[in-house]
Formats: sequence, C-alpha cells, structure tokens
Amino acid sequence: MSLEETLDKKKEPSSFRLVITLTLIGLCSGAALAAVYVKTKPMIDANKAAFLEEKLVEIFKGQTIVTQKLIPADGKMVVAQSGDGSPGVLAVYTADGKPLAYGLIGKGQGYAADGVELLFAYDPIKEVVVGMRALDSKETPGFGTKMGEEPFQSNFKALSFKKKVVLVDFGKKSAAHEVDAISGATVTSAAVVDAANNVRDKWLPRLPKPGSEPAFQKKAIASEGEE
Amino acid sequence: MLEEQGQNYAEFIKGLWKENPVFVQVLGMCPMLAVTTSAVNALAMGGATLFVLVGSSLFVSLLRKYIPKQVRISAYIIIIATFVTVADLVLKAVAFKVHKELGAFIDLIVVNCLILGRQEAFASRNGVKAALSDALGMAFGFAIALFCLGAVREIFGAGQLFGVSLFGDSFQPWQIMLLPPGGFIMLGLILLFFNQMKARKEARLQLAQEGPVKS
Amino acid sequence: MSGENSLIWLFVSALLVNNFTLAQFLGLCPFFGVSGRVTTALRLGLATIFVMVITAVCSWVLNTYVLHYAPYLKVISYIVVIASTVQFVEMSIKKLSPALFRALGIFLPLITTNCAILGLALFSAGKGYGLLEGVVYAIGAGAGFTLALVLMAGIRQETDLNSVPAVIKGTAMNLIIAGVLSLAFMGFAGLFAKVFA
Repeated sequence: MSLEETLDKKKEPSSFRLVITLTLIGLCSGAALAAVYVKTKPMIDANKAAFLEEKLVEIFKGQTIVTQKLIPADGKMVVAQSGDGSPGVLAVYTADGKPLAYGLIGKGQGYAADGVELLFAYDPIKEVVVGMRALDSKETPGFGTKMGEEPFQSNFKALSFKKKVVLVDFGKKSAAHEVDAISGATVTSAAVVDAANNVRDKWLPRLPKPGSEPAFQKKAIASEGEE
Repeated sequence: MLEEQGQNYAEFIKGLWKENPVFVQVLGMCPMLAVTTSAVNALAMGGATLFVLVGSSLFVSLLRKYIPKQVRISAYIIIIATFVTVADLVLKAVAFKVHKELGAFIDLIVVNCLILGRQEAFASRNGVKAALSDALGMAFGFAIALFCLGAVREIFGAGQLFGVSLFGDSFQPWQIMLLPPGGFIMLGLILLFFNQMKARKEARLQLAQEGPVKS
Repeated sequence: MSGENSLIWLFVSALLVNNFTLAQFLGLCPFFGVSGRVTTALRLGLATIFVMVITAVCSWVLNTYVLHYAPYLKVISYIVVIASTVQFVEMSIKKLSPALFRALGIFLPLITTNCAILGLALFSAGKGYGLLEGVVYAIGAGAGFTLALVLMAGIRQETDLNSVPAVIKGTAMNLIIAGVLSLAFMGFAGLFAKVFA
C-alpha cells in the first residue's frame, strides 16, 4: 500500500464505531416511538370506536343507541375488554339496554382487492340488514360516493341475509336477498355484495341466538383495534 | 449576525420558488399526485412533510459531526423513519378522518426523495439554524405546490374548495381530475405554465441586458 | 375473501388494473428520471422486481413474528430491510456482472427510495397477505412498474427527436404522456373485472 493509502486507512472510523453509532440511533428511535405509541394508543382507539358509532348512529337515526364490542371466545360471543383489537362485532342496544342489532364489518373486492370496507347493521330477529355505511373505499372516487346515496342505499333497508346475497342489474331486484347494482358501477356494486357475503359467512353462525345476547355493560368501553 | 440572518433568510426563500422541490427539482412526485385530490388532503400532507423534514434536518444537523460517513444514509433513513412514524401516530390520534384519506402516503414520506436529498445535500453540512431555514423553505415550497395542484383538482373534479361547493348543483364535475390521469396531466400543465413564466422572465432579462435587437 | 380470489387475479390486478405506477402513483421518481432508453428501463425494472420479491418475503416474516409486539416499528423495519436488500443486490451484481453494474450506475442504490417497494410492503401487510400471495403480489407489482417504465422509455425514445416547443419539453411533456398512459390503463379495469371476478 502507498503511504497515502495507509494514512487514509488510519482516518477511517472502525467498524465498531459504525455499528455503535447506528445501534445508538436505532435504540433512541425505538424508545421515542414506543413512548409516542403508548401515549397515542388510547386516543387512536377512541377515535376508531367513535367513527364506528357515528356510522351506526346515522343508520339508526332518531334512536339513542349504545354499543359494545363482542369477540368470539370459547364458541360464544363475549364482551371485549377495552383496548382489545381482535376482530369482532359491535352489538347495538337501545338506551335502556335492549338488544337492537349487530354492526358487522367486512371487506369486499372491487377494482382494488380489498376495495371497500363496509359496516352492515344486522337485525338478528328479522334476519335482515337494516343499513350499510362505507368505512373505507379505495374504489374510484365518484363511484365510491354513489355507494352512500340513494337509490343504492335503499337496497340495504331490508336486505335479507337468509340466503346468499346476489347482485342483479339495475332495476331488476325482485327478491329480498337481491341487490340492485349502481348503474354504471357494476364492479363497485359487486364489491359491496362481496363484502356482504363475506360478513354473512363469517359472523352469522357465531352471533348469539336472540334472547341470549350478553347484557350491555355500562363500564365496558367499546374499542376497535386492527381487524 | 445580520449577515447570518440574511443568509438564513436566503436559504428559506430559495425553497419557495427558485429551487422549489416540485416545480424545479422535480422531487416528491409520488405524494404530489396521490394526495392532491382535495385541498385539505394536500395541506395535511404538506404539514406532515414539514414536520418530518424540519425534525430530521434538525437532528441530522445536530448530529452531523458524530455520524460516520459510511453509515450516514442508513442513519438519516432511521431518523426520518422515526419522525414519519410519529407523524403517522399523532395524525391518527388527532385527525382520524384526515389520516384515513392520506392512508399509506404518510408512511411513504420516508422515501420522499426530497427529505433524504436535503439531509444529504444540506443538513449534514451546515449548522442548525441554516439547516432549519432550508428545511422550512423546502417544506413550504412543497406545501405550496401540493396546495396548487390539490385546489385545482378539487375545483374541477368536485366543484368544491375545502368542501365548500363553488358552482352549485348544475356543475357537472370533471371527474377525471380526481383520477390518476387527471393528476398527471394537470401537473404537466402546471409545470408547462411554470416553464413558460420562467422562459418569459429570462427573455426579458436578456432583452434588458442586450438592449433591443436592431433589425 | 370470496373463493374466486385466485393468485392469477392477484397478479393481473397488480400488473394492469391497479398498476403501481400509472394507477397508484408509486415509483414515479425513477419513472420520470430514467433515461429514455428501453434497455436501461428493462434492466432497472427487473432489478426492482427482484428487490420487491425479497422484500415481500422479509416483510412477511417480520409481520408474522415481530411486528405484533411493536406495530410502530413497521416503517423503520421495512425500510431497513429494503436498504439492506438493495445493498446486497448491489454487491452481488458488482461481483457477478460488472458490466451490468456499470450500466445501471446510480439507479441501483436509488431503488431504496423507490416508493413502490415500501408501498408494496405496506399494502401487503395491510391486506394480510400470506407468504405466497405476498410474493405473487410483489411479482405483479414489480412487473407493472417495469411495464410502465418500459412503455415510457419507448415513447420517449420515439419522441426525443420530434420538434416540440421548448417550454413543454422535459418533465411537463413526460407528465402528459404519463397521463395518457394512465388513461389507457384505466380501460383494463372494466375488462378484467368482468373476466376474472
């Protein structure tokens, strides 16, 4: 090696120094992030729960409702502890604790895989969906909003879940389990029906039988985590 | 002191126009096109980017003497990623609906070439005050560019600005504006306009220097 | 997910219907920056696909075993994985084919800041893809990016010698070309949805 190269080598920091620097930076970052996460988690959980409740309140316009989250455990649906993020349903009650419906959340494939995430309010006694709201939509803007408007919304005022939900061309709905497509937005409509069937397959068998629902516990704070 | 203040001011100003990250340097294209479907989203993204850029520049400048050259890029990336995650969590906690609109693009700020570029080109070689001025200027320049495109796309694509309907019910929204092609083409047109203004300015300068051409 | 959600649809969707570049605005820096030469574009695209697949595998491992405990470390850990993968790929190419290394030049390290790769990791995790689905998604997404890159390079190769007003030359023109390409790709959405869904 020439003299220059030897001198240069002396100036280079050792591998140890490189590793130490990166490790220190990494550790500080990790610590900072852990702190921020712990601080913000309750706020985020509350936001998520409020968002869902807001949609349910919209569906049950005119009624005061309260909700609590139920998760599957040991073959039954039990009340979730606050902060529990596992998948579940949102049980809806009237102000005096009478069970009203279940909020079921499901995803459906449209243009984008997982294109729509929807909330269905399901009445277990009549076995119909009484309302639907979009929670998240990666479908093309414009068509996404049509999901929340009439006439598409009227499909979900009394959609039967007794049979598998079927999509029909606009104006051709003749049975309670059929959904009229949004004219000009067949794929997005298919996404909604896909979501409905996913939700129907996943949750209907697990819902408590009418009459044996868990009572509303005032202390339980419903919170929804990652699905 | 005054000279340093003048210097810092110059660093700030350059990010707004002369070295505007989007219009001149052509950086940060991904978020530029993806989140400018409305003015509010554009401003929120601008704010998040501002937070990340200023925060990272501050720390990179503070630590510049301690970070060995060989690992500098990795170090910068870790610092930037930390700020991005903080921005993501805080936004989810404070403005849940806005976070839903911006989606994954908050996390993608970490690969916004603008931020890493500023650390490498400026923050790692300059003092804290200068680095902060530079970061603020670039971030504001970016936010201004985002807002321009976002506002135009929202006005044409939804007939609204900040959610306020501008043209009434009879307006047929030009929906393509909210879709990817509209974003590309609109930004192209804005850049075209920008280039035209630059060319005119240069022509005027040249004319002033040379005097009118004798035919 | 409905039963018809085959891997083929996943691939085609990422390649054409939800093209990462022309529909989801990812990977735009190399898209506008890469020279207007089809061969360079193709090589960069293939290198990117490779990095994406490795990232998909590593991020799946991370997701399944590590990130449950610290979800806030998601961004940091993904970007570290990507940076390491690119470093590794760079060193391998340098050893195996110095000619290719020189041809790719600066674009190789720049793959790290390609938002398409981080975007892939984030989307994959968000949709809860398993290992196989994640890899198929990565190949589709990378192929879509490559497709967009090659198309753009081809068009620029053709139009480079045309006489175009000076004000529009450069990024402004490229953006408008991209807009037209994006418009064309939107057409795929309706076609394939009918065929596959």
